[in-house]
Amino acid sequence: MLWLCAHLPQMGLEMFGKPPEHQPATVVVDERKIHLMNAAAQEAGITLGSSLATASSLAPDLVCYKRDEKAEKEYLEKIIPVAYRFTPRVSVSLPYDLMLEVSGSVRLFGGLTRIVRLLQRSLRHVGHASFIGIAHTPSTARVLAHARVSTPLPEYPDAQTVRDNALERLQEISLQYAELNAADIERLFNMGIREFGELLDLPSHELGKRFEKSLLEYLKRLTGTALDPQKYVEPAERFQSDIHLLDPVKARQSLEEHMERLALELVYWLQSRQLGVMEAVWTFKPFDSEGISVPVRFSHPRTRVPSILEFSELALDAFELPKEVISISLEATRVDSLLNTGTVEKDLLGTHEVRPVLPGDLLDRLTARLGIDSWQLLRNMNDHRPEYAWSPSTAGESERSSPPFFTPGCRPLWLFEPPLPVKRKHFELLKGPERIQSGWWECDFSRDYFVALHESGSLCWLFNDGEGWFQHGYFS
Amino acid sequence: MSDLRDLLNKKFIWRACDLTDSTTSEQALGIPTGFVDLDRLLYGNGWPRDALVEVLVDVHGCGELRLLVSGLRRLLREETRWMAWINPPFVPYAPALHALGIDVNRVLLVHPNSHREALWALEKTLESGSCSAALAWLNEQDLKDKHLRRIQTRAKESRVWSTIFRPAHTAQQSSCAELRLHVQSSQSVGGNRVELSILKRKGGWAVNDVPLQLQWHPNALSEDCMTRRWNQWRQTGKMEETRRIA
Repeated sequence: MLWLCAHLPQMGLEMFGKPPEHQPATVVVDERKIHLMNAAAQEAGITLGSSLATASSLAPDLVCYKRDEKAEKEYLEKIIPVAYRFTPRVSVSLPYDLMLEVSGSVRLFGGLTRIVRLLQRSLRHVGHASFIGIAHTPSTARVLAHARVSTPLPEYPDAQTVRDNALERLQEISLQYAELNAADIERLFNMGIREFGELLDLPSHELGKRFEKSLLEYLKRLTGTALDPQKYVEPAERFQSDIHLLDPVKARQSLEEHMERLALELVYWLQSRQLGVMEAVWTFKPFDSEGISVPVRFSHPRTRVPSILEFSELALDAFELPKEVISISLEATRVDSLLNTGTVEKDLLGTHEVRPVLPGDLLDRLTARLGIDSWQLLRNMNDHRPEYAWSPSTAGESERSSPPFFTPGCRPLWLFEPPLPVKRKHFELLKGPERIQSGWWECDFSRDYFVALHESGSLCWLFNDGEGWFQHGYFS
Repeated sequence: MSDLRDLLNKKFIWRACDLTDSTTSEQALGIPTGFVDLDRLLYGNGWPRDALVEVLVDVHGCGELRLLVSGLRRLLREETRWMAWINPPFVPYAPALHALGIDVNRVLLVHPNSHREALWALEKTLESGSCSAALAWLNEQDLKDKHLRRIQTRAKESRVWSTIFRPAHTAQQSSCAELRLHVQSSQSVGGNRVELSILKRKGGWAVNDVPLQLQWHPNALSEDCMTRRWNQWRQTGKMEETRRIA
């Protein structure tokens, strides 16, 4: 087993979005005690655990968030897809850790160093600084990550090397990082036991007499003598993510930074589920009112940030954004499997049919700027009624145009929809009639079609349905 | 000197010495139009693959589409790229296109709501590189010379045969289109004949009245019938009321 623990020490603060340029001292408060703070707060002299009153007196323009453990848990689950790229064995350890079992992925990603680098980079992209601990058990990996101790390991380590190196690094780490209750840690400190090495050296039956059973169990999980089953989690079924901003955003430019982060989260989620997005909805909310929703539709499943952003921004041009945006959210409303997008597919008899590749970028650009109704693809339908012998289609419809079963008579290149009432006297009939009748079970009509010449010299397709003359097209 | 070279490298400057013999270079070969008479008159022996063409018509339905059909069919077969119809005045009828050999699965129709949108859509279509031909019907009142120039540049850059259809009265206006044709309605009676005037072409002077025999639908009017009607019309100058000709 090879466990990576990604510890996100500032997640509770970073989840509120990328800080503005001139960042004031910002803290997260848990039960009126400072729980997390940013660099500016540290410079002002605020310490963790001090009271809010003290902090406010040190930094008058203090920005303060209340810690919400439920929101933190939801948020942590939202960034699971980032880790899910590397291994399907991902578990969450509250409050700020992601656990990854990567023994099966090291070779695929080309070494341990590379996995660690990629993981840290991906986390940085979604806005988080991280520390990685590597060990043979989840508990030890967590201790190493919290203590910010890295384990020197070869690129493709075997289980024994991982275990030996991790335990060796563990020796000198202070017991304050142990996942024990505070009273036990204090007792151990009072007994002069300050580091993991000293604790692990003690005979376990002696410890068992003086401490509760949970301590022994923890030590066993730490060293790997007892199993420590993890609950693996999967990325959510649906994607919905939002950013609540520190300061209302007025400029489109700075809005785009946040949109990029959401798009990136979406892409990680898509990758983890092997999907592409077909339709997404952006919502921009101001302080006081409902906000607006901007849907973006794609002609084929999209998986990349630049294209998602490009078409989103085109779509955004058509909307009037609120003057001050305080919250942005992105929801994937329609997704599609990437497996279905091949251009070759087999029909029932196993023969391959080559479908033309859609000009997807062009179609999405048109959809984003001009709307979904702004373009059509053509399709032949097997129907003898002129109006139904063709049909417009959009990219989502997979139904392919089929060549007609029969060759109809003269058909014009331009069709009028609907047919235009005309006066018979302007036309000279050249050819016809061709009787076209529909069945009694559908729209009932019976028409005699003629090829006719108009006074102006254009060749037209006329019909008489007993009620009058209509022009149905031009033989252009 | 380097400034001059920079300038000459830009695509919008055309030099007469660029106009080499079309048969020598592979690039310059046009798309055969399907009409031997017309091919002979065009630079590159066919429709240009990367330029703006203007087709001027008096009325719809005078054969302007069938003039292009053979070239379009050829282009769609040669390349995997698409064909775009921007702002068509009516519905391009799929069964008829199919009967003329055009792959309707690679036809894209764009319906913009305004002139600005139409220009934007046309430009994006040309830029995208996913279409080898574009047909556009633009609003004549708002169409400016600079728009045409821009379309021509884009067409050159991404090698798209771009055709725009304009009313015949614009023949007097100057245009940067590489090829300008007038499909004459006065002689286009009979459906399968048109007379073309080439108002402007690369490597040659204007040519008037080129008679062309258009390709017709597989089971269309018989040749005799059409010719008779046409001759009749030319002689009398007016139409004769006929009930039915089977």
